[in-house]
Amino acid sequence: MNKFTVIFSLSVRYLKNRGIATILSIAAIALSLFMLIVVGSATFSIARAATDSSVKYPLIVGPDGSSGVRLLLSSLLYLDSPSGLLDAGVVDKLEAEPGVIAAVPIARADNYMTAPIVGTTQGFIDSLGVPLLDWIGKSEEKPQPKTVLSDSSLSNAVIGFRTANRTGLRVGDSFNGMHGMTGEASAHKHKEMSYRVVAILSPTNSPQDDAIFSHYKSVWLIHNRHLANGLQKKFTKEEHAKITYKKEDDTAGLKDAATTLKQVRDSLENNEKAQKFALSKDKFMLTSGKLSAILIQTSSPAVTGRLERKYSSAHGTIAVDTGRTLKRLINYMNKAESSVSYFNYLMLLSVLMLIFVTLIMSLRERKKELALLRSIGVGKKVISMMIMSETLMLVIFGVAVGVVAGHAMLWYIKPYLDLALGTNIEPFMISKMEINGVISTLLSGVVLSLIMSYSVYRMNLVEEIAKG
Amino acid sequence: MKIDIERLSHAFVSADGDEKKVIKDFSLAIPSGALVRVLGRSGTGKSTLFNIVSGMIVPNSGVVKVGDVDITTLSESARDLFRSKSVGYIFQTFNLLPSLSALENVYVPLLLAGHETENMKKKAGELLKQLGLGAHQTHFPWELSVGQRQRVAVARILLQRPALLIADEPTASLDKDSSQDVKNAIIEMHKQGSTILLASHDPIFDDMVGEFSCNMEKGGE
Repeated sequence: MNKFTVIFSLSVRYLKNRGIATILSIAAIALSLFMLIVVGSATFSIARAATDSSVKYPLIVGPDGSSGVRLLLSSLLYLDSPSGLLDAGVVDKLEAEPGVIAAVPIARADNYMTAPIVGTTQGFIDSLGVPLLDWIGKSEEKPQPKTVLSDSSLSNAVIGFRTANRTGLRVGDSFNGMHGMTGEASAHKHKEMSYRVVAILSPTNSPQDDAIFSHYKSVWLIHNRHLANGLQKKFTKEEHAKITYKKEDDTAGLKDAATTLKQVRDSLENNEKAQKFALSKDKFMLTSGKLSAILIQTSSPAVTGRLERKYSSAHGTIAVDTGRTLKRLINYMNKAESSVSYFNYLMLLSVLMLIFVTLIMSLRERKKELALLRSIGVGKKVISMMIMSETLMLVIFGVAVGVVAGHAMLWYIKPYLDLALGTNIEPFMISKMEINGVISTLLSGVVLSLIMSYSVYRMNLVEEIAKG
Repeated sequence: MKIDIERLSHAFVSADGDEKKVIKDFSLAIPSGALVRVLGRSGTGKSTLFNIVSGMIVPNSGVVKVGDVDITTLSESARDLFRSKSVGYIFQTFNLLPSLSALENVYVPLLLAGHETENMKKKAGELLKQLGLGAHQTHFPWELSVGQRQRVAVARILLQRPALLIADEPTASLDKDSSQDVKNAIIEMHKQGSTILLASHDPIFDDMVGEFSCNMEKGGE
């Protein structure tokens, strides 16, 4: 058995003997690293989900005055509310542009239990390329329906995988949307039309999992009726009068609702307050002919660039290059990640300082023990190496436990994190933040162990021997 | 191992800067294999003398020849080597490493100090058996009585077989049987030719005074 083996086994034995103190030190390092692992994986996964969504639609057209980031967040990631409305006629103009493969309308105004209701088209559902997990009338003989959203059945809703899990909605269930994006308590329930779940999407590990999709004209139908009812109740002589609609939730029903709204508005032509109220609602209420955004598929980056210039300067719209905006967004996220990581590094440093203090304290308690070794002839260098080995081993154990247990724990809590963050965390991915965390912890460990060994080297152990 | 001490003086400087002379102009010649009883009350410099002779501290002045070498002229690492090869210590209380078992406490510190002899572990086990600790080999120091701990320290000395044994109050706070074990070990080492420096107030050693004694009562003057 050589001297180094003895030093190593003595260090292991000492750490084992410290029991709870060693466990707590290792756990503190491991916990700090675990936080870095979670933040690193989450940031990476969110950025990846955003990138995946943006690849399909390189251009977004929104109302003039919108910020690019907000447009991207609200129309592709469903993380923010739209900043205004644009004319639905722009869809036709865009579809007529050379190089445009598809122009998909997006109408967002409501939610159900905080799941955003996204008014769009069957084309958008098709572009996701996601098979349906369940649908009405599903059986071995009956294949997946080709169309789930159409303007002939505006109450149809297709829900994302996580929305189904979270809300408990199943195919065939009906629900009513809530006005607004976040499900605040003051928001009213849209009784004007009930949605019916006709299909559930398979998991995509993207923001689509958390959404509810309906035809964009269903949003118009609901809000035409809602505004007509509001005007009627508020401003006609018939207090609390109620408009009765035919039950249709198809194109005819929508036409009927639009006509009714027009009639109510016309009847209140001379009512100044009513006109003012209706105009204020026009700014943000998704009645017929209005959209939140349009997602564009183009045939080439050149087309994207041309359309971005064209639709940013005319038509009362703004066009946003998804890739470039996303890059800005990821830069923001990286800044946020850096702030969090600085906090985490600070925490890691505090943990190491705390461990250092406890080790220095324990050195005082071990003075006699070390003095005994000196009396036997064990050199200062050997004793310093022993202390250095103990400190290094503690940090290395902490890092090893942190990395292994951190990823295992991330794997375990992945379902909850995915639900909370709306993304698909990869539990065994090694992020740059984690690598930096591991390297900085190990380097700090080396510095700590050098300080410790120097402290021991300079210790006057003879005094202890003289004490007997 | 003979020891020649000539005009040895040593002083400690206290925290407030006062100098306290512990040993003044002390000379002593100890023939090889002698058993020396070092007498004197606490604070008279016995432990300081032991630390100087073992090379733990370098005196302010004087010559300390152990064998043919003046250890005051050696480097720190050379003095460490000298101690590991030639000096054995038994203290009053603290003789064991708390993280090692009784058996490991006998041979592991010696390995660390550079001793590498064959079958050290086996020999350590046999010595513990001889000292009545065969059933306690895997016990840790906190699981042993004070007497048992001191016997483990004795086993280490017997395994080390140093040419110079320094025993500083080795039987203080021990029961009669344990004290006798320690005394027997010292006698055994003496018989084998080790030079012994013993400081003890224990009457159990009174019959050993006659051979050779040194009174440090006046700082060795």
